Amino acid sequence: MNTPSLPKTEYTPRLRPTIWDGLIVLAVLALAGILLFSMLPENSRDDAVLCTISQNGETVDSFSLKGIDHAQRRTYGDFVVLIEDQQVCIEHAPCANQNCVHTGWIRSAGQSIVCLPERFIVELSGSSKTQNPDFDIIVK
Amino acid sequence: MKKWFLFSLVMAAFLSGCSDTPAQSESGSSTTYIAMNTEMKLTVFGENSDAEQQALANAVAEINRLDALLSRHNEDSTISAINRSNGAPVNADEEVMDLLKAGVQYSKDTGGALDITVAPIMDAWNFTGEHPRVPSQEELDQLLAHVGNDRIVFGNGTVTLEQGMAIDLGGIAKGYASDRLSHVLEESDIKSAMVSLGGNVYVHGRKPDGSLWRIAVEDPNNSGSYFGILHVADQFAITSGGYQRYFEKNGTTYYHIIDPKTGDVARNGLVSVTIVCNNGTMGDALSTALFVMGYDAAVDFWKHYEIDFDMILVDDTGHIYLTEGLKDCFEPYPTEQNYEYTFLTKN
Repeated sequence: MNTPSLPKTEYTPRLRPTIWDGLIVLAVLALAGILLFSMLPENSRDDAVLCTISQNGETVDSFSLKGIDHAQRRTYGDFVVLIEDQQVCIEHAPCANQNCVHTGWIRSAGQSIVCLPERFIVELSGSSKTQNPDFDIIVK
Repeated sequence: MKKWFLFSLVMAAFLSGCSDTPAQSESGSSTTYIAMNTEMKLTVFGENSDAEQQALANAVAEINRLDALLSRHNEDSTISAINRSNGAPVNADEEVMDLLKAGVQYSKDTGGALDITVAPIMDAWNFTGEHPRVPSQEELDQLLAHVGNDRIVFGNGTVTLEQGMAIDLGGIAKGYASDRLSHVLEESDIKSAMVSLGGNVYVHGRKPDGSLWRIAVEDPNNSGSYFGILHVADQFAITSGGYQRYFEKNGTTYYHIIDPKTGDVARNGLVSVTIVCNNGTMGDALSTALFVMGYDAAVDFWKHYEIDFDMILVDDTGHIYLTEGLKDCFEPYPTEQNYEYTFLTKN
Protein backbone atom coordinates (compact mmCIF):
# COMPACT_ATOMS: atom_id res chain seq x y z
CA MET A 1 0.00 0.00 0.00
CA ASN A 2 1.29 3.41 -0.93
CA THR A 3 1.42 6.02 1.82
CA PRO A 4 0.50 9.54 0.83
CA SER A 5 3.63 11.66 0.55
CA LEU A 6 3.91 15.01 2.32
CA PRO A 7 3.85 18.04 0.09
CA LYS A 8 7.37 19.20 -0.60
CA THR A 9 8.39 22.69 0.43
CA GLU A 10 11.17 24.68 -1.13
CA TYR A 11 12.81 25.62 2.30
CA THR A 12 13.09 23.37 5.33
CA PRO A 13 14.13 25.35 8.51
CA ARG A 14 17.02 23.94 10.56
CA LEU A 15 15.65 23.27 14.05
CA ARG A 16 18.80 22.17 15.93
CA PRO A 17 21.28 24.87 17.08
CA THR A 18 24.72 24.65 15.63
CA ILE A 19 28.07 25.18 17.27
CA TRP A 20 27.98 28.76 16.03
CA ASP A 21 24.82 29.48 18.01
CA GLY A 22 26.49 28.17 21.15
CA LEU A 23 29.56 30.31 20.53
CA ILE A 24 27.42 33.44 20.19
CA VAL A 25 25.63 32.65 23.46
CA LEU A 26 28.98 32.16 25.21
CA ALA A 27 30.37 35.38 23.75
CA VAL A 28 27.37 37.43 24.91
CA LEU A 29 27.49 35.87 28.40
CA ALA A 30 31.23 36.57 28.61
CA LEU A 31 30.57 40.18 27.62
CA ALA A 32 27.96 40.46 30.37
CA GLY A 33 30.41 38.99 32.87
CA ILE A 34 33.08 41.52 31.91
CA LEU A 35 30.58 44.36 32.26
CA LEU A 36 29.51 43.10 35.68
CA PHE A 37 33.12 42.76 36.88
CA SER A 38 34.00 46.24 35.65
CA MET A 39 31.15 47.67 37.74
CA LEU A 40 32.40 46.12 40.99
CA PRO A 41 34.15 48.46 43.41
CA GLU A 42 37.89 48.33 42.87
CA ASN A 43 38.71 47.16 46.39
CA SER A 44 36.41 44.15 46.18
CA ARG A 45 38.23 42.62 43.22
CA ASP A 46 41.34 41.39 44.95
CA ASP A 47 42.72 40.30 48.26
CA ALA A 48 45.07 43.26 48.76
CA VAL A 49 45.10 44.90 52.19
CA LEU A 50 45.60 48.65 52.00
CA CYS A 51 47.46 50.31 54.89
CA THR A 52 46.68 53.98 55.50
CA ILE A 53 48.63 56.02 58.00
CA SER A 54 47.27 59.34 59.23
CA GLN A 55 48.08 61.92 61.86
CA ASN A 56 45.84 64.75 63.03
CA GLY A 57 43.29 63.71 60.44
CA GLU A 58 45.72 64.01 57.51
CA THR A 59 46.81 60.94 55.50
CA VAL A 60 50.61 60.79 55.57
CA ASP A 61 51.12 57.46 53.78
CA SER A 62 49.17 54.74 52.00
CA PHE A 63 50.43 51.45 50.59
CA SER A 64 49.41 47.86 49.88
CA LEU A 65 50.79 45.28 52.30
CA LYS A 66 50.83 42.78 49.45
CA GLY A 67 53.31 44.88 47.53
CA ILE A 68 55.99 44.80 50.24
CA ASP A 69 58.25 41.76 49.94
CA HIS A 70 60.89 42.55 52.55
CA ALA A 71 60.69 43.88 56.11
CA GLN A 72 60.55 47.67 56.12
CA ARG A 73 60.74 50.39 58.74
CA ARG A 74 58.99 53.63 57.87
CA THR A 75 59.44 56.76 59.97
CA TYR A 76 56.77 59.41 60.46
CA GLY A 77 58.12 62.07 62.79
CA ASP A 78 58.77 60.28 66.10
CA PHE A 79 56.81 57.18 65.05
CA VAL A 80 58.46 54.10 63.56
CA VAL A 81 56.15 51.66 61.76
CA LEU A 82 57.36 48.14 60.98
CA ILE A 83 55.97 46.23 57.98
CA GLU A 84 56.75 42.53 57.64
CA ASP A 85 55.05 39.38 56.28
CA GLN A 86 51.95 41.35 55.21
CA GLN A 87 51.38 42.69 58.73
CA VAL A 88 52.18 45.98 60.39
CA CYS A 89 52.90 47.32 63.88
CA ILE A 90 54.09 50.48 65.60
CA GLU A 91 57.63 49.79 66.78
CA HIS A 92 58.30 53.14 68.42
CA ALA A 93 56.03 55.97 69.53
CA PRO A 94 56.63 59.19 71.48
CA CYS A 95 53.54 58.84 73.72
CA ALA A 96 53.83 58.18 77.46
CA ASN A 97 51.43 55.24 77.75
CA GLN A 98 52.79 53.23 74.76
CA ASN A 99 49.35 51.65 74.24
CA CYS A 100 49.82 51.81 70.48
CA VAL A 101 53.14 49.94 70.66
CA HIS A 102 51.60 47.32 72.96
CA THR A 103 48.79 46.70 70.44
CA GLY A 104 51.26 44.63 68.40
CA TRP A 105 50.78 43.35 64.88
CA ILE A 106 47.66 43.86 62.77
CA ARG A 107 47.05 42.07 59.48
CA SER A 108 43.34 41.96 58.54
CA ALA A 109 41.22 44.62 56.88
CA GLY A 110 39.22 46.46 59.52
CA GLN A 111 42.00 46.40 62.12
CA SER A 112 43.75 49.55 63.28
CA ILE A 113 46.32 50.84 65.76
CA VAL A 114 45.56 54.18 67.36
CA CYS A 115 47.76 56.48 69.40
CA LEU A 116 45.28 58.81 71.07
CA PRO A 117 47.73 61.31 72.60
CA GLU A 118 49.48 61.88 69.26
CA ARG A 119 46.34 61.36 67.12
CA PHE A 120 48.27 58.84 64.99
CA ILE A 121 46.35 56.03 63.23
CA VAL A 122 47.50 52.96 61.29
CA GLU A 123 44.46 51.48 59.55
CA LEU A 124 43.99 48.43 57.32
CA SER A 125 41.22 48.27 54.75
CA GLY A 126 40.24 46.00 51.87
CA SER A 127 37.54 43.75 50.51
CA SER A 128 35.52 41.29 52.56
CA LYS A 129 38.04 38.63 51.49
CA THR A 130 40.72 40.33 53.56
CA GLN A 131 38.67 40.83 56.71
CA ASN A 132 38.76 38.50 59.70
CA PRO A 133 36.52 35.56 58.69
CA ASP A 134 35.29 34.95 62.26
CA PHE A 135 33.66 38.29 63.10
CA ASP A 136 32.68 41.71 61.78
CA ILE A 137 33.52 43.98 64.71
CA ILE A 138 34.87 43.77 68.28
CA VAL A 139 33.23 45.18 71.40
CA LYS A 140 35.85 46.12 73.97
CA MET B 1 19.31 30.71 15.63
CA LYS B 2 17.23 33.87 16.11
CA LYS B 3 15.68 32.46 19.29
CA TRP B 4 19.10 31.61 20.75
CA PHE B 5 20.42 35.04 19.90
CA LEU B 6 17.48 36.77 21.54
CA PHE B 7 17.80 34.51 24.60
CA SER B 8 21.49 35.43 24.89
CA LEU B 9 20.74 39.12 24.67
CA VAL B 10 18.08 38.90 27.36
CA MET B 11 20.45 36.97 29.66
CA ALA B 12 23.25 39.47 29.06
CA ALA B 13 20.96 42.40 29.77
CA PHE B 14 19.78 40.67 32.96
CA LEU B 15 23.27 39.89 34.20
CA SER B 16 24.84 43.24 33.41
CA GLY B 17 21.80 45.03 34.77
CA CYS B 18 22.09 43.48 38.24
CA SER B 19 24.30 46.29 39.48
CA ASP B 20 21.85 48.94 38.40
CA THR B 21 19.13 47.74 40.72
CA PRO B 22 19.22 49.23 44.22
CA ALA B 23 21.49 46.96 46.25
CA GLN B 24 23.88 47.10 49.15
CA SER B 25 27.53 47.35 48.21
CA GLU B 26 29.60 44.40 49.37
CA SER B 27 32.62 46.16 50.80
CA GLY B 28 30.99 49.35 52.09
CA SER B 29 32.79 52.57 52.93
CA SER B 30 34.68 53.19 56.15
CA THR B 31 36.37 55.89 58.12
CA THR B 32 38.51 55.83 61.26
CA TYR B 33 39.31 58.96 63.20
CA ILE B 34 39.71 60.36 66.69
CA ALA B 35 36.92 62.19 68.49
CA MET B 36 35.62 62.25 72.08
CA ASN B 37 39.18 61.37 73.04
CA THR B 38 38.85 57.90 71.52
CA GLU B 39 38.91 55.98 68.25
CA MET B 40 35.81 56.14 66.06
CA LYS B 41 35.32 53.50 63.34
CA LEU B 42 32.33 53.71 61.04
CA THR B 43 31.47 51.36 58.17
CA VAL B 44 28.33 51.89 56.10
CA PHE B 45 26.82 49.89 53.25
CA GLY B 46 24.67 51.87 50.84
CA GLU B 47 23.32 51.69 47.32
CA ASN B 48 26.52 53.16 45.93
CA SER B 49 29.74 54.81 46.97
CA ASP B 50 28.28 58.34 46.84
CA ALA B 51 25.46 57.38 49.21
CA GLU B 52 27.96 55.76 51.57
CA GLN B 53 30.27 58.79 51.56
CA GLN B 54 27.35 61.11 52.25
CA ALA B 55 26.17 58.94 55.13
CA LEU B 56 29.68 58.86 56.60
CA ALA B 57 29.93 62.64 56.32
CA ASN B 58 26.58 63.01 58.12
CA ALA B 59 27.68 60.60 60.86
CA VAL B 60 31.06 62.29 61.37
CA ALA B 61 29.38 65.71 61.51
CA GLU B 62 27.00 64.45 64.19
CA ILE B 63 29.81 62.98 66.31
CA ASN B 64 31.79 66.22 66.00
CA ARG B 65 28.71 68.23 66.98
CA LEU B 66 28.24 66.11 70.10
CA ASP B 67 31.93 66.27 70.94
CA ALA B 68 31.79 70.07 70.80
CA LEU B 69 28.61 70.12 72.88
CA LEU B 70 29.39 67.55 75.55
CA SER B 71 33.16 67.38 76.04
CA ARG B 72 34.43 68.94 79.25
CA HIS B 73 37.84 69.24 77.57
CA ASN B 74 36.42 71.58 74.92
CA GLU B 75 36.36 75.12 76.33
CA ASP B 76 33.45 76.11 74.11
CA SER B 77 31.14 73.26 75.10
CA THR B 78 28.03 73.67 77.23
CA ILE B 79 29.48 71.22 79.77
CA SER B 80 32.64 73.34 80.13
CA ALA B 81 30.50 76.43 80.63
CA ILE B 82 28.57 74.64 83.40
CA ASN B 83 31.81 73.39 85.02
CA ARG B 84 33.34 76.87 85.29
CA SER B 85 30.13 78.64 86.31
CA ASN B 86 31.07 78.82 90.03
CA GLY B 87 27.52 78.18 91.12
CA ALA B 88 25.77 80.49 88.64
CA PRO B 89 22.96 79.16 86.41
CA VAL B 90 24.07 78.35 82.85
CA ASN B 91 21.79 78.24 79.83
CA ALA B 92 21.60 74.77 78.33
CA ASP B 93 19.60 73.55 75.38
CA GLU B 94 17.04 70.79 75.65
CA GLU B 95 19.37 68.10 74.33
CA VAL B 96 22.02 68.74 77.00
CA MET B 97 19.38 69.02 79.72
CA ASP B 98 17.80 65.73 78.69
CA LEU B 99 21.13 63.92 78.63
CA LEU B 100 22.12 65.29 82.05
CA LYS B 101 18.74 64.24 83.44
CA ALA B 102 19.20 60.78 81.92
CA GLY B 103 22.61 60.52 83.62
CA VAL B 104 21.11 61.50 86.97
CA GLN B 105 18.28 58.99 86.49
CA TYR B 106 20.69 56.12 85.70
CA SER B 107 22.64 57.12 88.80
CA LYS B 108 19.49 56.86 90.91
CA ASP B 109 18.50 53.59 89.25
CA THR B 110 21.87 52.03 90.04
CA GLY B 111 22.08 53.29 93.61
CA GLY B 112 24.85 55.76 92.84
CA ALA B 113 27.19 53.27 91.13
CA LEU B 114 27.40 55.80 88.30
CA ASP B 115 27.80 59.53 88.91
CA ILE B 116 28.24 62.16 86.22
CA THR B 117 29.86 64.56 88.73
CA VAL B 118 32.84 62.31 89.43
CA ALA B 119 35.09 64.60 87.34
CA PRO B 120 37.12 66.05 90.26
CA ILE B 121 38.07 62.50 91.31
CA MET B 122 38.98 61.49 87.74
CA ASP B 123 41.19 64.58 87.45
CA ALA B 124 43.03 63.63 90.64
CA TRP B 125 43.83 60.16 89.22
CA ASN B 126 44.75 61.66 85.80
CA PHE B 127 44.17 58.35 83.97
CA THR B 128 44.23 59.93 80.53
CA GLY B 129 47.21 62.19 81.15
CA GLU B 130 50.88 61.50 80.75
CA HIS B 131 51.46 61.19 84.48
CA PRO B 132 48.66 59.24 86.18
CA ARG B 133 48.98 59.03 89.96
CA VAL B 134 47.40 57.48 93.06
CA PRO B 135 45.71 60.19 95.16
CA SER B 136 45.87 59.89 98.96
CA GLN B 137 42.69 58.89 100.80
CA GLU B 138 42.71 62.35 102.44
CA GLU B 139 42.68 64.01 99.04
CA LEU B 140 39.93 61.70 97.81
CA ASP B 141 37.81 62.41 100.89
CA GLN B 142 38.08 66.14 100.25
CA LEU B 143 37.14 65.72 96.60
CA LEU B 144 34.21 63.41 97.40
CA ALA B 145 32.54 66.41 99.05
CA HIS B 146 32.17 67.80 95.52
CA VAL B 147 30.61 64.63 94.04
CA GLY B 148 26.89 63.95 93.91
CA ASN B 149 24.78 64.35 90.80
CA ASP B 150 21.62 64.68 92.90
CA ARG B 151 22.87 68.21 93.65
CA ILE B 152 22.65 69.36 90.02
CA VAL B 153 19.83 71.93 89.86
CA PHE B 154 17.73 71.95 86.69
CA GLY B 155 15.91 75.23 86.07
CA ASN B 156 13.85 76.49 83.19
CA GLY B 157 16.45 76.04 80.45
CA THR B 158 19.33 76.36 82.94
CA VAL B 159 21.67 74.08 84.86
CA THR B 160 23.28 75.10 88.14
CA LEU B 161 26.26 73.35 89.66
CA GLU B 162 27.79 74.06 93.05
CA GLN B 163 31.24 75.60 93.15
CA GLY B 164 33.93 72.90 93.06
CA MET B 165 31.69 70.37 91.32
CA ALA B 166 32.24 69.34 87.69
CA ILE B 167 30.37 67.19 85.19
CA ASP B 168 32.00 64.46 83.10
CA LEU B 169 29.72 62.68 80.64
CA GLY B 170 32.40 60.11 79.76
CA GLY B 171 30.18 57.34 81.17
CA ILE B 172 27.27 58.00 78.80
CA ALA B 173 28.36 60.35 75.99
CA LYS B 174 29.61 57.67 73.58
CA GLY B 175 26.47 55.64 74.18
CA TYR B 176 24.36 58.70 73.46
CA ALA B 177 26.42 59.34 70.32
CA SER B 178 25.66 55.81 69.11
CA ASP B 179 21.95 56.45 69.74
CA ARG B 180 22.18 59.60 67.63
CA LEU B 181 24.07 57.71 64.90
CA SER B 182 21.25 55.20 64.62
CA HIS B 183 18.94 58.13 63.67
CA VAL B 184 21.49 59.73 61.34
CA LEU B 185 21.99 56.45 59.48
CA GLU B 186 18.24 55.99 59.18
CA GLU B 187 17.84 59.53 57.82
CA SER B 188 20.71 58.85 55.39
CA ASP B 189 18.75 55.84 54.08
CA ILE B 190 21.45 53.40 55.20
CA LYS B 191 20.07 49.95 55.96
CA SER B 192 23.31 48.32 57.01
CA ALA B 193 26.18 49.73 59.08
CA MET B 194 28.49 48.98 61.99
CA VAL B 195 30.13 51.53 64.24
CA SER B 196 32.63 51.33 67.06
CA LEU B 197 32.91 54.42 69.22
CA GLY B 198 35.93 53.69 71.36
CA GLY B 199 34.93 50.01 71.48
CA ASN B 200 31.23 50.71 72.06
CA VAL B 201 29.54 48.87 69.21
CA TYR B 202 26.30 49.61 67.40
CA VAL B 203 25.17 47.45 64.48
CA HIS B 204 22.52 49.02 62.28
CA GLY B 205 20.08 46.64 60.59
CA ARG B 206 21.52 43.41 59.27
CA LYS B 207 24.57 42.74 57.12
CA PRO B 208 24.20 43.56 53.40
CA ASP B 209 23.59 39.87 52.63
CA GLY B 210 20.75 39.75 55.17
CA SER B 211 22.64 37.73 57.77
CA LEU B 212 23.21 38.75 61.41
CA TRP B 213 26.24 40.77 62.44
CA ARG B 214 28.99 38.92 64.31
CA ILE B 215 30.28 40.95 67.26
CA ALA B 216 33.38 39.48 68.91
CA VAL B 217 33.57 40.14 72.65
CA GLU B 218 37.12 40.94 73.68
CA ASP B 219 38.80 38.72 76.25
CA PRO B 220 39.63 41.00 79.22
CA ASN B 221 42.53 38.71 80.13
CA ASN B 222 44.07 38.70 76.66
CA SER B 223 43.77 41.94 74.76
CA GLY B 224 43.35 41.38 71.04
CA SER B 225 41.70 37.99 71.60
CA TYR B 226 38.01 37.30 72.21
CA PHE B 227 35.97 34.75 74.14
CA GLY B 228 32.75 34.67 72.14
CA ILE B 229 30.73 35.94 69.22
CA LEU B 230 27.33 37.63 69.43
CA HIS B 231 25.07 37.11 66.41
CA VAL B 232 22.70 40.08 66.45
CA ALA B 233 20.99 42.79 64.39
CA ASP B 234 20.11 46.37 65.33
CA GLN B 235 21.73 46.19 68.76
CA PHE B 236 24.16 48.07 70.95
CA ALA B 237 26.96 46.14 72.65
CA ILE B 238 28.99 48.09 75.19
CA THR B 239 31.77 46.84 77.46
CA SER B 240 33.37 48.34 80.54
CA GLY B 241 36.54 46.67 81.69
CA GLY B 242 39.49 47.36 83.89
CA TYR B 243 41.85 46.31 81.12
CA GLN B 244 41.08 49.24 78.83
CA ARG B 245 42.75 52.20 80.53
CA TYR B 246 45.04 51.59 83.45
CA PHE B 247 48.45 52.20 84.91
CA GLU B 248 50.65 50.23 87.27
CA LYS B 249 52.43 51.50 90.34
CA ASN B 250 54.42 49.52 92.91
CA GLY B 251 53.05 46.25 91.49
CA THR B 252 49.41 47.29 91.69
CA THR B 253 47.20 47.89 88.65
CA TYR B 254 44.93 50.93 88.82
CA TYR B 255 42.23 51.00 86.17
CA HIS B 256 40.02 53.89 85.17
CA ILE B 257 36.65 52.79 86.57
CA ILE B 258 36.06 54.65 89.82
CA ASP B 259 33.52 53.89 92.52
CA PRO B 260 31.85 57.31 93.07
CA LYS B 261 31.16 56.46 96.71
CA THR B 262 34.81 55.88 97.67
CA GLY B 263 36.73 57.71 94.96
CA ASP B 264 38.90 54.61 94.68
CA VAL B 265 39.24 52.13 91.81
CA ALA B 266 36.21 49.82 91.71
CA ARG B 267 37.34 46.35 92.75
CA ASN B 268 34.35 44.08 93.16
CA GLY B 269 35.54 40.92 91.46
CA LEU B 270 34.47 41.69 87.88
CA VAL B 271 36.99 42.23 85.10
CA SER B 272 34.52 43.16 82.38
CA VAL B 273 30.82 43.85 81.91
CA THR B 274 29.19 43.85 78.47
CA ILE B 275 25.65 45.14 78.03
CA VAL B 276 23.61 44.12 74.97
CA CYS B 277 20.47 46.19 74.46
CA ASN B 278 18.57 48.50 72.12
CA ASN B 279 19.57 51.81 73.75
CA GLY B 280 23.17 53.05 73.55
CA THR B 281 22.95 55.57 76.40
CA MET B 282 21.50 52.98 78.75
CA GLY B 283 24.07 50.38 77.66
CA ASP B 284 26.94 52.78 78.31
CA ALA B 285 25.60 53.81 81.71
CA LEU B 286 24.84 50.28 82.87
CA SER B 287 28.14 48.77 81.73
CA THR B 288 30.02 51.17 84.02
CA ALA B 289 27.53 51.02 86.90
CA LEU B 290 27.27 47.21 86.94
CA PHE B 291 31.05 46.91 86.86
CA VAL B 292 31.20 49.08 89.98
CA MET B 293 28.38 47.12 91.64
CA GLY B 294 30.01 43.68 91.32
CA TYR B 295 28.46 40.31 90.48
CA ASP B 296 25.72 39.93 93.12
CA ALA B 297 24.35 43.46 92.84
CA ALA B 298 24.62 43.40 89.03
CA VAL B 299 22.60 40.18 88.76
CA ASP B 300 20.01 41.48 91.20
CA PHE B 301 19.74 44.70 89.20
CA TRP B 302 19.28 42.77 85.93
CA LYS B 303 16.51 40.68 87.48
CA HIS B 304 14.53 43.64 88.75
CA TYR B 305 15.25 46.56 86.40
CA GLU B 306 12.15 47.83 84.60
CA ILE B 307 13.88 47.84 81.20
CA ASP B 308 15.01 44.57 79.63
CA PHE B 309 18.64 44.17 78.66
CA ASP B 310 21.19 41.40 78.43
CA MET B 311 24.67 41.27 79.88
CA ILE B 312 27.89 39.27 80.00
CA LEU B 313 29.88 39.36 83.23
CA VAL B 314 33.46 38.11 83.39
CA ASP B 315 34.81 37.67 86.91
CA ASP B 316 38.35 37.34 88.19
CA THR B 317 38.03 33.58 88.80
CA GLY B 318 37.58 32.59 85.15
CA HIS B 319 33.78 32.49 85.05
CA ILE B 320 31.64 34.08 82.36
CA TYR B 321 27.98 34.69 83.19
CA LEU B 322 25.50 35.41 80.39
CA THR B 323 21.85 36.34 80.72
CA GLU B 324 19.25 34.03 79.24
CA GLY B 325 18.40 36.33 76.33
CA LEU B 326 21.81 35.62 74.82
CA LYS B 327 21.38 31.84 74.81
CA ASP B 328 20.54 31.66 71.11
CA CYS B 329 22.85 34.38 69.87
CA PHE B 330 26.10 33.79 71.77
CA GLU B 331 28.74 31.44 70.42
CA PRO B 332 31.63 30.69 72.81
CA TYR B 333 35.09 30.88 71.33
CA PRO B 334 37.96 28.80 72.70
CA THR B 335 40.56 30.81 74.60
CA GLU B 336 43.69 30.10 76.61
CA GLN B 337 41.73 30.94 79.78
CA ASN B 338 39.32 27.96 79.51
CA TYR B 339 36.44 30.01 80.86
CA GLU B 340 33.38 28.40 82.41
CA TYR B 341 30.18 29.70 80.82
CA THR B 342 26.99 29.95 82.86
CA PHE B 343 23.62 31.26 81.72
CA LEU B 344 21.61 33.30 84.23
CA THR B 345 17.83 33.11 84.45
CA LYS B 346 15.42 35.48 86.12
CA ASN B 347 13.50 32.73 87.92
